[in-house]
Amino acid sequence: MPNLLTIIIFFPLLGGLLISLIPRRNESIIRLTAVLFNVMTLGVVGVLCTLFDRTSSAVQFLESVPWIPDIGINYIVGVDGISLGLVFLTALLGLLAALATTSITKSVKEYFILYQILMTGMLGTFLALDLVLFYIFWETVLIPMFFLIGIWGGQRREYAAWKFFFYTLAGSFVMLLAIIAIYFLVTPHTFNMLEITSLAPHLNNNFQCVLFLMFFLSFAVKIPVFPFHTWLPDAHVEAPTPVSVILAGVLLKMGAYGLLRICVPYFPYALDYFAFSLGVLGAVNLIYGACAAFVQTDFKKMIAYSSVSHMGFVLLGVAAMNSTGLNGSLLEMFNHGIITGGMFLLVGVLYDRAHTREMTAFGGLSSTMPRYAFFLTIMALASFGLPGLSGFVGEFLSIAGIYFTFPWLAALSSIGLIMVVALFLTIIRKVLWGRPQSAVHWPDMGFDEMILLCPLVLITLGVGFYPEIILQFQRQAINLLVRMS
Amino acid sequence: MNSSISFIVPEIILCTGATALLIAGAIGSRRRLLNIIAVMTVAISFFSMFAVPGNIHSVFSGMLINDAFSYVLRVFVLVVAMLSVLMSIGYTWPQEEDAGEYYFFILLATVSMMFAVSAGNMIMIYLSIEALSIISYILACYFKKDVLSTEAGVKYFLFGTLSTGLMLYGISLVYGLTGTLDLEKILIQLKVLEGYAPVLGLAAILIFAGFAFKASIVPFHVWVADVYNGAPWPVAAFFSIGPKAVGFALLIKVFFGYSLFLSSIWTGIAVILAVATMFVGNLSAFHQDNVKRLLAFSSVAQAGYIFAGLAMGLSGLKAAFFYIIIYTFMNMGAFACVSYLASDLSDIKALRGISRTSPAGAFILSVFLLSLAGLPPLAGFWAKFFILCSIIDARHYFLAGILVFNSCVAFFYYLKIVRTMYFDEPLSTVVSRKTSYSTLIVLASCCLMVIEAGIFPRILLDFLGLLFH
Repeated sequence: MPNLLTIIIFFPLLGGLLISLIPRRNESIIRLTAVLFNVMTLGVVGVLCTLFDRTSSAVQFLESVPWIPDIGINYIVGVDGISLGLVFLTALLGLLAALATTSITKSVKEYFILYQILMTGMLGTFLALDLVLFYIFWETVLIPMFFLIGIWGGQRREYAAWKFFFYTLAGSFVMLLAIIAIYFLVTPHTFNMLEITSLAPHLNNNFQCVLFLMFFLSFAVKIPVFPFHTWLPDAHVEAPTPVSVILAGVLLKMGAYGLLRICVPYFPYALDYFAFSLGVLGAVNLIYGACAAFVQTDFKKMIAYSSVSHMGFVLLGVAAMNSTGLNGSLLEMFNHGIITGGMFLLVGVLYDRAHTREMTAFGGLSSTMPRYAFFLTIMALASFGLPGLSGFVGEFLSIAGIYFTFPWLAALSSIGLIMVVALFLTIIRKVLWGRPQSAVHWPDMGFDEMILLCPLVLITLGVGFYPEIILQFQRQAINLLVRMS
Repeated sequence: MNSSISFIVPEIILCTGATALLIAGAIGSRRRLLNIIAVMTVAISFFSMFAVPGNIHSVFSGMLINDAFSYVLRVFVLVVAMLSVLMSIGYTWPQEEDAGEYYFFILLATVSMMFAVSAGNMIMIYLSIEALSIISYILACYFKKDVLSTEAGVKYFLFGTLSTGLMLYGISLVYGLTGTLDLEKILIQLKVLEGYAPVLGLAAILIFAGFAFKASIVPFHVWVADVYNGAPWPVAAFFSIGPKAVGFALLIKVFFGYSLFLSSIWTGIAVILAVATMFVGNLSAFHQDNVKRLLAFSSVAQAGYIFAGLAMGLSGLKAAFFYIIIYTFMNMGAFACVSYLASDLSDIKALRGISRTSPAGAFILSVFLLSLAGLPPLAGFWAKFFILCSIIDARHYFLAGILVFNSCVAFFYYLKIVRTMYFDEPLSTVVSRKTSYSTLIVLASCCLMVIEAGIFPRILLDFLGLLFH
């Protein structure tokens, strides 16, 4: 299939258009259409994974069509080892989040239209290979997310939506300036990301540092890196469950992906110059996120801060600048998407029953909700990196990578590691063990809820036991990245 | 002489139609008939543009010029007129006024704009600007018994006469130095007038004042908010696109096309004015709860972006022109959509929860507002993108930063309107809206343009590329 990637990107949008034609009273048809389109998107992504040549480091399935030739903007999409895992993650979580929408009862039609636009934006961001196209998809994500949080969110939804929007907007405008600046600085002028990969490293050092910082600022807001993380807890707590899943699972990865796709290969001098600062930021993220999560009383906010903590591993892996660290970083992105997506689904399951997320309201659920306890335990163990589960591999590789470059940072990070363990054990203790706090007995997870979590658990176990199933896809691309930087 | 007459056939048609409308209105014809006459007049005039002979360069001994630039702008002015007339038809007039008279003024304003953009002589520029101004004063205070409307007219008049007076003084200085008012002859004369740079600079600033007033560039913007607020919605929409585009077109023509006074200090002054215009427009719009005033200040800010492109000299010309065309459609759409949804109320509260009662209208207004804010992949994004490209190409990184900062501020207030429509609960009182075909045509064509130029900006760019070669 020649236009596989274009199909993947615009298929969700097509679904959105189709949904806009369905009368709003046919809610079940709307839901079914959305799910169907997401199933088919995942199917096409599956085909892409099987056709993908994992022995090659090159960009595959390249499509290039001139778009605005006057200024050299092309529609270029392609996939390589760095983006493939994230595209799969997006399609999978996209389907699961589309299924987990029982809590969405208000304006279902608008919800799914916006959701489908969001999907197109996210998939496009990972597949675009033209800086302007990348920016357009990056921005496309903003407005649907603003509405999804602002209309379907919780009590303080509007505040959270504004905060999310303006943090990201400010960041992306800085990126736009950097994109245009890079166009005029490289000769020949181009927005083609593959060509810039070979041109940008020749820029002089000052330009490299300034451009690196501009791109990094934009990505740092999205990742989020301390101190730009404050939008994340608000957005996560207020967003409805499926939106939280997408937000944590995919949106945060957009920033980290940008780091690997743009900051690392384009500005080798700047990366070298800022590597230690990056590592420190990573360690701070790791420790600060865990500390902040520890003192929360809101279940969802705890998971949100633990995401900040986990993104610290990603930064550490990048700061390591060797193939171990970068592999760990990329794998951690994938794992975090799977695990935290699952965690947010589990928080949603509890919220649907208790209508509260205060930790004090829970306790002793292991006796009343054994299936829930099983899933929560697996996800929590994976989250803090128990060997044999997927979280361990990514975290270990990141820390091992940074050990070669900055041993002291690795030592510092291990404090964070311990705190993350403590954090998730506390969650298990407070939610599952102890005496039940509520007089009402909530029903255990139903089949429809378990079916959402099963694929995530399977992937967690699979990657934990045999990480090669993911690593084989990304290894060649990471090796190329290391050779370039 | 024959060819001269055939050149101004579109204008003659407009004048004839205008007179017919005035008479028809005076003898008490139905509004419906007047609407039809007005639309037909503009349409016939539009199609007669195809009959304008292309082989002559100048007519009426150089008073009017027939080149690609003026031809395209005349067509553009007719499109603006058509949109304004259609919006006026769909608009629910709060007071019963003589519609014939109204269309008469709109069509005459169109004629003077067409003359302004094809003028080849300073005196012709002055006359058409002055005619446009006088008609604008009358249109601004069209609601004779309304205090706000009268205030709008008086304010517009006071600032308008001042700026056109300054422009006339500037023109007289140029005449004193060169002995001619013909733009091409002035160009030849200027080459030998190196020693008179200070006087020429003064003349340039004075002439600039006249154009900047129409284009609402700081410090000549003070009339904008009050005039838009007092004028009826269709008139405010017309002011925000027609005279503004003409102001920019004349700026381009006199300062670039004839490279008149285009010296090194131009960039310095223009950058400062552009920055001031952006800040004043955006910061004033920031706290507005009156949508009409908000859109008025937003149009000042938009003028700042366009002017920032022009400040970059010839390289920013195409970007600025692209911006003007896109701006026309998105701003017209925003005005038409708000006036339709809010039924003539200008407080933002009138738009509360409108997504529930009128989902399509709320969606279309969001498209216009987000395009004005510059969200990809809508046309407004490309307009800002090309302006930014020309600025960064010229290495004015600081100006680029300021423009981007202003875009952020602008996002806030555009999104405030969107937010009101989608997040708030609807008002308990049901507003009845009159949906007419003409409103639908205006909204649909503007919306299509904004989306089409957002996805395929290439078409418009190729067209402009032809224009600037």
